[in-house]
Amino acid sequence: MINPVLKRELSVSLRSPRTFIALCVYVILMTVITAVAIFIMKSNILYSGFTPSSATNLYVFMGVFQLGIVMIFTTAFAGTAISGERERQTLDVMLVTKMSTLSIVLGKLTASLSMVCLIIVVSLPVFGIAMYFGGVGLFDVFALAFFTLSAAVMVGGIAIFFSSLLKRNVTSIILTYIAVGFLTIGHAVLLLAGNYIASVTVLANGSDALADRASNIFAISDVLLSFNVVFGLVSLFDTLIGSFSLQNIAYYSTIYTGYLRENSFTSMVWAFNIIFNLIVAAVFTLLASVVIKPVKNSRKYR
Amino acid sequence: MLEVVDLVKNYGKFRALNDLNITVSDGIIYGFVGPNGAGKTTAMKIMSGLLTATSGSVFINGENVVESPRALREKIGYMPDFFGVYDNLKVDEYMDFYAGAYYIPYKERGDIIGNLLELVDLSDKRASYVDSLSRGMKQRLCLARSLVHDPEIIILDEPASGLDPRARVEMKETLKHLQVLGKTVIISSHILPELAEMCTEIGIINNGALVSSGSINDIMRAMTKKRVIHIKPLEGVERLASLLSEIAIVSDIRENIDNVEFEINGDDKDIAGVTAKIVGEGIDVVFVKEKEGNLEDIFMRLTKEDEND
Repeated sequence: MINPVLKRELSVSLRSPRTFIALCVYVILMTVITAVAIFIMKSNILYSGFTPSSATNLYVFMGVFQLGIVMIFTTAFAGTAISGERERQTLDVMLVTKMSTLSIVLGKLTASLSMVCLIIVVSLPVFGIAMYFGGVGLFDVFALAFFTLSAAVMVGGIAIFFSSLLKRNVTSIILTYIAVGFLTIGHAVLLLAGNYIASVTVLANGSDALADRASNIFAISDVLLSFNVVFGLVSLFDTLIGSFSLQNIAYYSTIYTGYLRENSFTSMVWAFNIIFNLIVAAVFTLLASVVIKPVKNSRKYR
Repeated sequence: MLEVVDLVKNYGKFRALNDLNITVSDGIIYGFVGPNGAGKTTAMKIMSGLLTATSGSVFINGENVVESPRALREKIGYMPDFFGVYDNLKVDEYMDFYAGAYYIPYKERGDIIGNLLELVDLSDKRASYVDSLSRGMKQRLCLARSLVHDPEIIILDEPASGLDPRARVEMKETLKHLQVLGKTVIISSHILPELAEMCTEIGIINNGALVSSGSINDIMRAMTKKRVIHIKPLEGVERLASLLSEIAIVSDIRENIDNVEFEINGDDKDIAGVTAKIVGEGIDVVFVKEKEGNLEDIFMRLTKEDEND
């Protein structure tokens, strides 16, 4: 039997013209941005034809843009999923039914993600433009779509947790943006800054012991950076189009200090990242179901 | 039978429920009355499994449902004092959603929803959008929703609030019909005369504790100890009043246009004895009627006494 919450959400949202209009606006926006990107590339003085390399750049650009959009949309959808029910005064009535809180949360989360799936699916033809010019294959497009979806699942899990924890939609959305911002940008900036400080310290003291400790810091930092969605996406691009962006990031994080660090990134950071995203989503979804449970445990009072 | 035993609910240092004890027999309409902040909604939410009690138990037919919230959800239908509806959802879809949420098989839903919409007189609105319904209709729809899983007990928190007189009458009729169907209804309301009309028993709650419980007349009797009787003679109001003044257990005699009102300090047997004596003195009696207790009077007296304490 289909989850009743998911069924209701889908029938309501798909009936609304707003969904259709929003999807149309998104596809048009993606198309316009892609057209502008092609135009800019063609206007380059050094232009020597729209090569497969240009198509690859376009694919990377579109992939990053879509990931950003999907994360924003997922926060907006899932961040209001439970708090919206609370604001609408429909949550209590749902909690007295026989549905478990996990089932309610999963229904709301999958409904939010189904909208994100629609966004990803309707944008596939736009990605086809990059395929048309060569350099990007069908597998690349679907792999990127799957990675984007895994990131959306993670953001959705975090968003629905805050939505369950907080009473107001606005606070839930703001906190989700802060959390996702930290997990994507803040956490990377902190770790890269740590790399920089470690390399400066090693160079200033010149001791072997410190150099060993710095190597450990770099290794731990690389592992922690593998959790980062942005690094996962970069790794995916490296794997699909054969670039070395991840190594370059590690290299440039210390090169300006004059310290040449080794990097321990594997080529499978993106796969590691997908698993991490799904685990984070599962943990936060479970937490959300505990938070909204009206009577926490079956227990004897007295 | 629903039994609430020594229920306590603390919100930090504030005690919302203070050893609340209630017993509601099967098939009755039980009115839950109390001033704002008395603890009615808190008690109803605990009974519905929406709130954890600090201590105490809720038994339904001897089973402690506090220990098994799932069993509670099967047995209880709950309608909150404030509730919202979903935009873009039709009446039958709304009902179907809740039927699904109670895991009612798809095949059975059509009949159940049809019957419930008929019960609340919304059959002709089946294809209408929920947000296009009037407030009274939404209240009735929410009542139908709370009945979708055929619960034994229905808890209604202020179901008549904000309704116009016609919608209140319709709601009252629906509740009476539910009683006929054998449902136990627990209802809170501020509209005391209406509650008095439809409730079999009432419980008056103040400061988180039950101040009094029972039928309105029982509570009245317990409060006054004396019963107010009206006797209408075929003729001779003055003679009747004079005769009553000679009876020791009768007091506060008042002559009305066509009847005599008096207080009697006694039970049913004493009333029968007084009536027999009047008839024996040759006065033809048209009726003997005990004045029914007024819920508003009881409520004001009990809650005032409690405040003074």
